[in-house]
Amino acid sequence: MAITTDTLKNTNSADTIHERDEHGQPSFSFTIDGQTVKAHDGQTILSAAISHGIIDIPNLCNDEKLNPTSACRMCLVHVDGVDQPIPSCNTPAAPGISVQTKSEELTHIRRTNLEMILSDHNAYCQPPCQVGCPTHIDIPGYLELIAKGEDREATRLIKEVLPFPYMLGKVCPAPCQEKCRRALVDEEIAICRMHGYAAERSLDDPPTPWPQEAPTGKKIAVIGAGPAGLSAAYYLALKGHAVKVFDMMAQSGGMTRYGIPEYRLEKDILDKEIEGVWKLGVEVQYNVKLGKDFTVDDLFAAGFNAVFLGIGAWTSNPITFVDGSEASPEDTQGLINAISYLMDKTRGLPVPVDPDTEVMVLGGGFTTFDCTRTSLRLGAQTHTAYRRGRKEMSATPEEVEDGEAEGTELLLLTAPTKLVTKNDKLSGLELIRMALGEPDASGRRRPVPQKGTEFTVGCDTIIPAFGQSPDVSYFPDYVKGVKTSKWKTVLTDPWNFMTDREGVFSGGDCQMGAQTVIQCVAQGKLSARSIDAFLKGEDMKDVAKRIEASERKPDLFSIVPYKPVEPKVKMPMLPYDDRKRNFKLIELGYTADQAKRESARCLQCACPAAGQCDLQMYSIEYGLDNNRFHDGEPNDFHDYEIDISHTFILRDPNKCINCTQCVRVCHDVIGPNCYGMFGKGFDTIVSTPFNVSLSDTDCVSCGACVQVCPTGSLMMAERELVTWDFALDRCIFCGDCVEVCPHGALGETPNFELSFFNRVGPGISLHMDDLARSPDYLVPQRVPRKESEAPQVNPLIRPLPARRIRE
Amino acid sequence: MPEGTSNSVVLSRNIQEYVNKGGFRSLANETAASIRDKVRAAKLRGRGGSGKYTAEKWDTAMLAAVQRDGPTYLVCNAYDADPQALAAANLMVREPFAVLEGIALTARAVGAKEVYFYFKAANHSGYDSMLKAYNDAQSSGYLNTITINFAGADAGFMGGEESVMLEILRGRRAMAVQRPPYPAQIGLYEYPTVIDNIETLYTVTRIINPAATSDDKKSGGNTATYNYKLLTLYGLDGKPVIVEAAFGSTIAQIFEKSNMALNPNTVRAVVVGGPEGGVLGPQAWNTPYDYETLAAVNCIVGSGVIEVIPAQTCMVEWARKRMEYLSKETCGKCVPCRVGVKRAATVLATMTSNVAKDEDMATLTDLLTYIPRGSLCGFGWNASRAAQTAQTAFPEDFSQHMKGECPFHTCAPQRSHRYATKGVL
Repeated sequence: MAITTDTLKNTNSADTIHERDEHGQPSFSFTIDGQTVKAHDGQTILSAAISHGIIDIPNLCNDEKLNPTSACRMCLVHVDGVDQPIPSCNTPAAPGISVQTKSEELTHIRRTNLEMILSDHNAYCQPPCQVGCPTHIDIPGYLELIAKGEDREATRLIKEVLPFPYMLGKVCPAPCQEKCRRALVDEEIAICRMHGYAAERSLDDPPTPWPQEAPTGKKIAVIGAGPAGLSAAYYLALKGHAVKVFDMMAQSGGMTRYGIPEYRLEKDILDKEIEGVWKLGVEVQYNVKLGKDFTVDDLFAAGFNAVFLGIGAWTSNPITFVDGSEASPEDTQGLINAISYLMDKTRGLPVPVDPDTEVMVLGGGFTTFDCTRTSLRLGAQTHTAYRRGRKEMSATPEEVEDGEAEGTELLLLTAPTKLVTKNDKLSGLELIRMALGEPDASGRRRPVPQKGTEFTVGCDTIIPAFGQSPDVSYFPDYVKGVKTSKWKTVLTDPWNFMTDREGVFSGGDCQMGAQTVIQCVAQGKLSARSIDAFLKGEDMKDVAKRIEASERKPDLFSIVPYKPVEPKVKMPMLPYDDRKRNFKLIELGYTADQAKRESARCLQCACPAAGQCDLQMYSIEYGLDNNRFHDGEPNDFHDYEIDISHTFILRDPNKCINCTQCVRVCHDVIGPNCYGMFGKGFDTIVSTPFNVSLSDTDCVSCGACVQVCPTGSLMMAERELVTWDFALDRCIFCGDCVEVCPHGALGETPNFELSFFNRVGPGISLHMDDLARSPDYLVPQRVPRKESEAPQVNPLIRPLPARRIRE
Repeated sequence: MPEGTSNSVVLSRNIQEYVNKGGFRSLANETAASIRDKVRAAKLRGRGGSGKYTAEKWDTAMLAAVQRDGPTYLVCNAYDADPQALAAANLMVREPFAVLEGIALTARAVGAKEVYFYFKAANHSGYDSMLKAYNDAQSSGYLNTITINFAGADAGFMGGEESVMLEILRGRRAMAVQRPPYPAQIGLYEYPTVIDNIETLYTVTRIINPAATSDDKKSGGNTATYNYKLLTLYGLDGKPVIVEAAFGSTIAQIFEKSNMALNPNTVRAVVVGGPEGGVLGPQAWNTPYDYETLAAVNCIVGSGVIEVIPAQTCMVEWARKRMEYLSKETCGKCVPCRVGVKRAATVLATMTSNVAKDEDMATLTDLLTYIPRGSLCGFGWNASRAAQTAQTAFPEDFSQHMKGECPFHTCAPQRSHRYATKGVL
């Protein structure tokens, strides 16, 4: 294990023939990865590499103004003739040595270092739930508010991106919950039901996310009062535009009203929530249908400046038999159109299902189970058949479980082969067993029919629920200039949602094909942003780029969470026995206590330093997508208390990686010596002398420690901006205050010059606005090492507000 | 000291006796160059465990001193970092004058005026003995060219690491510092510093002035390493016995000579080298005790402790305890040592708790290679050895535990479940 010293010996200047660098200083050459690099005496390998633009040597504990410490072991390199990898931050360059910065072993060591750090990094980075949610709600934010009992503020926060938290709280498939980090500890949080709860509590007086802007005088027509259309209308109205919604049905809500049975979503409460849109001054006209009553040209002629098409997907797909033939409800006796069935039921019209019928529902999605459970509630004997297995179903497991518990017979891995008729009446359906084969393009395993396994199930009513498509048959005549795809969807730009016809936008099911409600809301919201930009005359290409950038998924990596297990608060449900022959809401809703308890389970797995964190950057670069040290026991981790006593600096030792940059900068550069190492062995941690609160040390609040901290362990506290006056009659405009302020809180405006120049007029400004307006004012930044080409870390979609002081 | 036992030792605690025997005579005769030549010719290797040639270290320091143009320091390491090692404490009590003569000779050889005598603060008897000897020698007119500063420290196992030692002498926190540059190049107060073990310095006296040390035998030793090494043996009764063994004699012979012959029926294994040493099964007990031969079986001279492990001992549990101890003793500076050792210890704990799966074996092997390659100082470079040698010498214990049973039914479960590999999304 010994290192031979020969290659690393400090070479005496007498025995080396020095070259001279461009400044005339003595220098020498050595190679890094085969590239010849010049260095001067005493320069470290790392510093020489950086000054030659080699910036891919990672390091977490090095800073140019500090003495190297080599604690993080990230900058290890191989030097020819030395057996052990050595840290480049601490090893002086020597003439003629050959350095390798990349090798399989180095990558392995660096990656394992990060894995080790993250296995005791009792803090979090970016919340995956927020990334998983198509609308990117600030989930940790509203859960924290609900836990504090501030339901109305929580609703306001949610409404910044989602206008219908109650509706989605009932019907959303909750893609956020699949990603919840709490699942790494015990069970995911009921994120979705929580916003439903918060919104329900403020339905009578719903907050708007921000005050409505002054009228702009622009008019927008929104066609379709479904989730996409109403979301677009809501955000456009908030922007001050005049919006008018047209809908073919008699009431608003679109598919959420007519496609979702009453037992999942109560329509009178839905009305209350949609009322929030009308309150913003949005007009609505019912019972008018595009393609029958008016055209898009009519709308432009009527003075609308833009049109949003949110016409949804209302046509049920026909049955496709194994042999490829099709049968549609319109021309086959005994078949029912799934959408009309659900729609008629919600409208209170008679439906062809009663206790005497035997119903076969085909498919594995939400509509399938809506039809199944509606039929069950009507008293019919019900079967549900699906081509693939339980795991492949797009309906949630809860939905499937409930369907089974309520009494349907689930026929998995079966596909229809033909209809069986008796006396010209439908008497059954022949099915064939399927087996899962190779995965297809969508990643799901393709079902393959097993020959000779046909069997017949008796039924007199079949409801094919294989999804829906939009109806675009009237587009050539009524929506001129808008193209549609072969899947009958409206073609738009993927990011700004404008169709080929200028001023016509589209989003929701009619643009994507039938998808979830939350995806429709997300598209409605983004379309509103795009339409607003269009009305302001912006270049739509720029808008597309901007939206694309804001929707880019940030990278995530595996941190080991350490939190005590706390069981999930289950949603109180209507007992199965009470669900028969009625359409009562099955989710009874959380009580205030339960909701607070459930929200408080949130790990708040968001870090304000995300995006500026070196640890995050390297973890992404080294692909830390999993960690071998999850599920540890309490003594495998540290759970430190966060020090929020200091007025300006927040200290979270849980995020500390013991790089000691703060220790060194405070001792060597600033002087007060507020930090030091504390503890021994695995429990070593950077802390203050005697582990007192930072405010009890000699801290001068300079913030240098925050600047050097490579993670979010030390952060500046958020505070209200204060403007201070100063005695103008006593100021000599020396500029010293500007020079020494480490935060750029004081700056020079164009009128201000340093004291060694002639001065003309007063000009120090303590007003942030003056500084911001000044064209050549720059906030001093940490000196960049080189034009950085390091991997870019996408910032948090909406950073959480920093913790307030003394909260 | 006679070889083999610790009882019939000729004490030299009276300065008059020591001078009469010929002590301190070398100080009048030898020049710096002649001391260096003799030590180089004797091929003396450092007794602190790493086994570097002492003369080479001196040369490095002297070369650095020319460049630095400042003082050179000498540090005598009498720390006995391993709590089980008693060699340095023993020398301090029994041979204080020979140690002082060695210090004086070395200081002259490297041109050091200031010497730091670094020892365990709790070793009161050793300190009293050394201090009295130093005062006596000075009042008798010897050792006038050097100043010895006595520095007692208590920094656990890590206190024996040479860079930690220098940090402590400077009054800083006991944390390792990256080498190179070595202390011999840039050491105490940034000046060249020679750090020699007390036993090395004692051996210097033996080489230069054999008459002054108690009866020296020239036969039996390996000439390359100048003869003898003080060892602390722990037999089955767990009581320490300090012996002087010749380099080159086998481990079995060393125990035999101390009347503790190794019997495979009562002894499971022998641990050579202290907390970071390796474990040897019966088939390796005939390994000669020397730097190279020990390295070949992944053992070290280390702290000079050889410990016997009784039969019916589960070696997985033994390795776990070792790693647990090391994870408490590490200075906590570098990541592989602070977290890696802890994780390796807990993976071993899942094995002793019979909840481990096959992947854990791979994880353990991976960690054990990662820790030495990534670590900052000698502590980390050697931290994997106990678990590694237990894995090679006693694979059956590990496989038995992986099957869910302790081979001797002695392990108490430490953990309820194993670590799981999880991804974020």
